[in-house]
Amino acid sequence: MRWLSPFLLISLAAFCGCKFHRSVVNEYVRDIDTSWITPGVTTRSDIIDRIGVSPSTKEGGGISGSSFRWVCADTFTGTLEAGYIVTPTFERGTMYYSEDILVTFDREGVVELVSRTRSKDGKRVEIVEWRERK
Amino acid sequence: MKRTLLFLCLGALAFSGCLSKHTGLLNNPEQWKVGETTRREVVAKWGNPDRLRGNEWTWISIDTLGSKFKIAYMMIGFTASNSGVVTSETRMTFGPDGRLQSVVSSETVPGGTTWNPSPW
Repeated sequence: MRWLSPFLLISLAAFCGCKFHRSVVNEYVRDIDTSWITPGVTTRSDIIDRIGVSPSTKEGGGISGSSFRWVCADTFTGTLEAGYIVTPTFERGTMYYSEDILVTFDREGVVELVSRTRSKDGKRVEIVEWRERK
Repeated sequence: MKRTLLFLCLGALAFSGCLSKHTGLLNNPEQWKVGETTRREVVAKWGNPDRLRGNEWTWISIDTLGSKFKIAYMMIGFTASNSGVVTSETRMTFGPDGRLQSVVSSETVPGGTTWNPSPW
């Protein structure tokens, strides 16, 4: 039982410095309906009319002359600052796209590919929609 | 006592360096075979590409590693920290049939870039 008091003291000092943080950016992307987009038929203008232009920043997805992309980014960070006077900081984090929609266009602005992926943990990716022009 | 305290501080600093890591998805580009792998297979593993330029698709993964060490008492404190960024990039080109034509991967670490062209 002699070890119990120092153990409790150290545990208390360690837990006092715990911090867990989660942020979700662009959650609206999960609600975007892409089932109506048909490669070879749907045009860039159709997509702009129904969904809108994709965000221009890389964090939001991105836009180029030949593609639109929408992403929903999940970030998890755990931090532990243990100690008093001397405080080493431990931190571990991960960021992944829980929802990712990519639409590519040809030179005439007609859809060539629709690719929609989903990930629950950033390690495994699942293709939810994949349609490309034959 | 002083030596023990110094040892503990250095050990904690080293240990915190091990744990401070943000991991990316991109790994094992050798799995992709020229002439066989399709775009859909790559997307099923790595997700959508981060950059598109015609038939050239690029996937980018960024790992940040860092550690921080702080000594503070009342109004006086000292903080030491270091961090580094490792960027992995895999560039692939696909033919009209959607099959892989070439793949080049690179890794940029503080101090330089190493490139590894295909075939594996």
